[in-house]
Amino acid sequence: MQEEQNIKYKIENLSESEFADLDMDFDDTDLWNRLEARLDEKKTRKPRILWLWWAAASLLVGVFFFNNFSENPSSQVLKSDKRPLKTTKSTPKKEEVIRVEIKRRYETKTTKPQNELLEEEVIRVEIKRRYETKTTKPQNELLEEEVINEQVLNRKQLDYQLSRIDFQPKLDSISVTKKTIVYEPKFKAQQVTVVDFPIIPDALMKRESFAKRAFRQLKSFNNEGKIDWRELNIEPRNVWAYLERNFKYDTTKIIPNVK
Amino acid sequence: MNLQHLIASCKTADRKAQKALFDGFSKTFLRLSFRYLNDRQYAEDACLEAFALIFENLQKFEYQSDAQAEAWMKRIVVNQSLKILRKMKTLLYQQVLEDDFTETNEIGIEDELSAQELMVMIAKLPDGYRTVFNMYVIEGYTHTEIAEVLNITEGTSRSQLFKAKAMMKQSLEKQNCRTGL
Repeated sequence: MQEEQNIKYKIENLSESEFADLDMDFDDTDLWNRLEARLDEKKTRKPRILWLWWAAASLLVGVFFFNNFSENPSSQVLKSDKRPLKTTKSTPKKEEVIRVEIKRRYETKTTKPQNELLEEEVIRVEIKRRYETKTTKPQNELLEEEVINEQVLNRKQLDYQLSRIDFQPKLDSISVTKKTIVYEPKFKAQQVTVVDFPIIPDALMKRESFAKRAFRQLKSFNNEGKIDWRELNIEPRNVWAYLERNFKYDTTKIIPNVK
Repeated sequence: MNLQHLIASCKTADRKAQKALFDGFSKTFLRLSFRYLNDRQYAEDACLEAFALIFENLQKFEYQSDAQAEAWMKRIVVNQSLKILRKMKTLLYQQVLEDDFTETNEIGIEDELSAQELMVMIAKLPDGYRTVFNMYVIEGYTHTEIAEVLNITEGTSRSQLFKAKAMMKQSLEKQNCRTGL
């Protein structure tokens, strides 16, 4: 221990001349210049980093506002038709409640199998439509889209609703509901029709026979698409048809006249 | 200007104070670093890094005494030197059984050697031995601290020190044989 302390003492008390003899005399002028340059660099780096942070933050805010507040034509919901829809209170046993959803899809090439396109689960009724109002405004502003959610329609209401629908395919009208799985459309000017048959315990047979008739009619209009007929006596109870053609008037024909 | 005032001024990034602190310690630190690295260029690099770190971390440093401030700065210089040594990958440690060196801890080299001769001998030691010798004998680290800093066991640290001393003694004996003492 003493030995180590002595060694330490000897080395710590080396004189400048002894260090010079040992070739341990350093010229620190150059070292200071290097250090000073480095310190200056650090000084300028700080504001630059702050500026970069500021730019990144403002970019993020910009993107956020652009995404949330810019008018996106594909998701824009325009003014709905002011005419109110009459809903009648009806008991499920007396009146067959039918929910109809009509959507449009437009073609882009996709590699997804066709069956996957049939797997959308939609519970609510959504009717979207586009039409041109007779005004002098530019064409983009003339397009209006109506979305009606959770409408329970009886036959008359449905007829009324369908009679107002005008299917004019527009490329920018792909819309998505929250519960809809989005796939890239496969067919040209494609339309998806979903007929929701409610389960009424006493009217299962009636329901099935109606569905068969409905399918026959749907098939006659189906040139290219695929029809998926799910088991009607169990859930899910949606019937889907992908049709190339507009079948506005024909759809009304398949609605059962149940009283 | 005393060290306390110098440090206080350096905290405000006063360039004159930084220069004064540098002038006050640069040679000591360069020599210190050189003892570890045995290379002038590497020693300068280590000192440059160390001073940059010192000025950067002075904000967090709380001055208590001159000795404490100097020890803190020296520690930074040693750490930077060790960092460069690790980069060079020349740090090799040789494990020795504890029984081999516990009995012969004192090897009696310092009586016969001058400070300059000691410095030369230290410089001739392999990096691993030299590092532990410098840290333990001159800087006053404990074996536990050395083990922690160098990421080795305490036993390895002890064995390195023993080997370093033994090597120095051997070298001294050879020297004595040549001079006929």
